[in-house]
Parts: sequence; C-alpha cells; structure tokens
Amino acid sequence: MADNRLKIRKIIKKALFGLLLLVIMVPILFPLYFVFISSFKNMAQVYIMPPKLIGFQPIFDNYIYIFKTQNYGTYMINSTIVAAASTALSLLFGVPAAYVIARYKMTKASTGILVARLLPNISILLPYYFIFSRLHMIDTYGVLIISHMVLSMPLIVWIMTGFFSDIPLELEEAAIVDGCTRQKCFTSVILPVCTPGLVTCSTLSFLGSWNNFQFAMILSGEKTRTLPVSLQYFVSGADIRWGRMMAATIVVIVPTIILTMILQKYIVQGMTAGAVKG
Amino acid sequence: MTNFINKHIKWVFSLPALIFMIGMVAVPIVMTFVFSLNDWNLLLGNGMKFNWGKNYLDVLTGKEFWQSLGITFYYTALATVAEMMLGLSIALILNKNFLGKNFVKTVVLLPYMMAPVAVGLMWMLFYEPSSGLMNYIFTSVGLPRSVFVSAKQTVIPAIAAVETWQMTPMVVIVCLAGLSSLPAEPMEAAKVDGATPLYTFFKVTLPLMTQTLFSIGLLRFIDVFKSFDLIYAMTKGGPANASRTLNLFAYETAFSYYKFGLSSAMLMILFVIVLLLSVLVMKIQRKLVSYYGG
Repeated sequence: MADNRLKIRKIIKKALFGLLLLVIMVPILFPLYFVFISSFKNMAQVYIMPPKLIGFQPIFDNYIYIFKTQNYGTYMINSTIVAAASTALSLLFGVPAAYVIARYKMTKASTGILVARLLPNISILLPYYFIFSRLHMIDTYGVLIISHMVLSMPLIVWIMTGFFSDIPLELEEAAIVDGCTRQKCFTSVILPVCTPGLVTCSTLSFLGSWNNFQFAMILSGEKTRTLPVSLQYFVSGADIRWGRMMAATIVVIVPTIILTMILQKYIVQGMTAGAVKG
Repeated sequence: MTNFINKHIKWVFSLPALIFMIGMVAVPIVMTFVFSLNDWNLLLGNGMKFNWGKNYLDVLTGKEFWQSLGITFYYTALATVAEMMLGLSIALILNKNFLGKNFVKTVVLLPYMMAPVAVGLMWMLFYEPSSGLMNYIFTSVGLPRSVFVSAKQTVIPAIAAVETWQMTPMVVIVCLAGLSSLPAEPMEAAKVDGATPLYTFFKVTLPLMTQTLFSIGLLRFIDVFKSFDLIYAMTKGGPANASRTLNLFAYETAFSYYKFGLSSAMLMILFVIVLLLSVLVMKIQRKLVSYYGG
C-alpha cells in the first residue's frame, strides 16, 4: 500500500514538472509557430480569429513576393558576406590579442575591452557617418564590415581571454623548451586546444552581425542593404501586409534558429563567460 | 622576422587589435565630444561653430530631455525586474537533471538569438488591436481588450514585455551556470535539518547567488538602457513620443532633424550614464569577489 502511494506521488510529481516545462516552452514556441503559419496565409486569413492553426491551404505568394519583387536573395547574400567577413577579420585581430592579454595579464587592455563592450553603440555612430560619408564609403561592404568588427572584436577578445587563461602554462613551456618559437607554439599548440572557444565566439560574432540593425541602417544603402534593415520598410504606412512581413521575418530568423539548435552548447558557454566568474 | 615576432610577441599580437579599437571607438567618442560643443546643423550646411557648451544647456533645460530620460528609466526598470524574476524562476525549475534538458535549454535560448527588429515585427502582429492574437487571448480569459503599442499609457509596458520575452534567456543561462557552480553542502545540511524548500531558497541559495544576480542584473540594466532596435522597429518612439527613450531621441535629433551638435550632446550624456553604470558593475564585481573570496 505504502509502496503504491509513493509511486503515485512520484508520478504526480513528474507530471507537474512536465507541466512546468510546458509553461516555459509554449510561450516561446507558440509565437514562433504562429509567425511561421502566418507567412503562408493571405491578408484575410491572417485576420481570422480564432486563428486556423492547422489545415488551412498554405500559399507561397508572400515568399514569391519578397524574393522576386523585393530582392531578399540579395539581402541574404549581403548579410552573409558582412557577417562572415567581419567575423573572420575580428578573429584574425582579436584572437592573438586575447592570447597575450591572458598570458601577460594586461589588465588595462582587458578593462578597455570590457568598456568597449558596454558602451552605447549609438555614441560612435555619428562620427562614423561623418567620416565614412566623406570617404564615400557609405553603402559599401567595407564600412559595414569595419563597423561590425567594432562590435565583434570586444566579444571575441573577452571570450577568448577566458579560454586562454584556463590553459596550463606547462603546455606551452614544454613546446618552447623543445625549440618552438612563441608564435609557432601559439598556432600549433594553443589554438588546437581552444577550438571550442573559437566556435563559441565565431558563432556569437556571426549572429551579432547578422542581427545588427543600428549600424547597418545608417551605413548601408540600396546596394548593401542587409536583412534586418530591409525589415523596417514593411512598417511604413497604415496598410501593413502582415503575410509578407512575416515571410520576411522568417527569412531573417530561420538561419539563427538553425545555428542555435546546432551550436547551443557553445553559445551557452560564450554567454556565461565573464558574467559568472566576475 | 620570426625572431622579432618571437621576442616582441606581446605587442605584435595585441597592437593591431588595440590600434583598431582605439581608432574606431576612442577617437569617435572624442569626435562626438567635439561635435557636442559646436552648433552644427547638417541641413543648414554652414559647418561647425563653437558655442561653449550651449548644446548641453539646451538639452538639460529642455522638458523633452527629462521626459525622455524618465521614459528610459521606466522602460529599463520594468524590463530588468521582469527579466530577473522570470529568469531566476526558470533557472530554478531547470536546475536539475532530466530527460530532454538540452532541448528545453535550446528552446529557451531561441528568442535571445533572433534579431530584435524581427522580434519587434512579430509582436506587432500579435499586438494588432482589432484582430490580433493577444487581444483574442485577452478576451478569451476575460481580460479587457487593449490597444498595446498604440496608446500612451500602455506602450512602454507592451514593449517591455517583448524585451522580456526576448532577453530573459540571458538571465536563465547565467543563473543556471551560477546555480550549478554552488557548493552542494549547505543545501544538503539545510535538508538534513528539515528546512522547507522555500526556506532553503531564501536563506541558503539566494545569499550564495548574490554575486551572480548582481552582475547579471546590472549587465541587463545597461543593455536594456541602450535598447534601440526593438523600440525603433515597433513604434519609432511613438505614439506622441511616449516611447521615445534617450537613445531614440538622440537618433531622431541626428538623423531626422540633422542637428548633429545637439544630438552629440545627448549622446555624451547617455555615454556618461552608461560609463558610470559600467564602472559600478566592475566595482561591485570586484568587491563581491573579495567579500566571498571568489
């Protein structure tokens, strides 16, 4: 008897816990699902309440419109080029810097990096606009890549400094005793050990650039428009085409969702770097 | 060459990054400061004219600035408090081993990784006053209909709710890491002594989590304080400037009215506020670390 009651109690506890998990996940997943299906609906269908969640006739007009009439293909390529290039260059500059900051305990440099991470981006946007319009660089990939590097590099240095400080000194000392130069030791001994860190900060840097709106809005133009910038043009005017807007939203968020699902572990590592250790 | 790099690795490795950051961050800030001391309207096209800090006087004596600052703090406080409470609660629920934990964590992470502009537009669809999802849910559970972002009274809570929906994952992830790094002994001791879970949480877990909660709370506060994309995408500061935070006000002054001098003065004020908050973050972190012995 008592054994049975214990069992029932355990089952109830498990059910309650499952319910709690649902309470956490439904408010996240349902809106995403709702946006997804809205992107396959026409104007009238979007407005029907209660909404038809399943079993409606999906239409592809919205996607055809944004890719055929609105150049979303080009915007996607623009976003990809800027995100990939700014990430690659930030890694090239930032990772070696992080290594020596960690090894030589350059506290001033790391404090400066932290401040650069926290400061409001908009306070450097006016001079950028001023300088780069003088140089006729507005609406070029160059200016977008440079401006996104300013956001990526502090992130990369911050995360990688943490990774490098955790590597035992003995590892490189052994290599140096064997006659290795310091830079050789860095590329062939240290970097391979830090692959998880590199994946972490590349992912966060890529997504940060992909999602960036403020810099891209001012510094891009017709030719180099990125995805987040293109989104805002749907809001103008009272007559909002919800279906098209949601199709565009889906195009912007689906790549980030896929990346998050694949690289969740690494993203979590990057987010906790510094915030917990202090 | 190889030998040179080997000897001076400290500077060869760090200087390119440091020079880039100084050139692209420190110099522009100084430029913004110089702009802020000048009368400079791009539309009039008459160049910069030094005006002895009149911009600051204009900003600080204007009613609009203080209104904007008030809105910024209201928005930031609402969103930060909501994120912290929700984030800690979710972290406490998820802080045990169960089947599918990684899946749940991935789901929780999703909103955080998405572009704020995209999230803003999503929620504009839900907030649609006449036949949006939120009003459908509201009326279904017996709540009065709301116009959300279209009315002065509700616009800030409505956007703060979206900010919370998107950014709470950050708090969850950091709190989870904090919880899992706590020592197990005090909790077990409390359990042995017959303490209730609630008592254990308030008397044991919470005090041990102070450092983590302080750091993440302040970091979130700073982030929300700087928030731009979401508000711009949803309302552009409206209706009737009711959601025009400092960030948006400065942006509008620069890129809608082209008053670069005036806008720069606002940006400097914003910069100083954020800088002070950042110094506070670092001070508190250091103090807490030494207090708890790391």
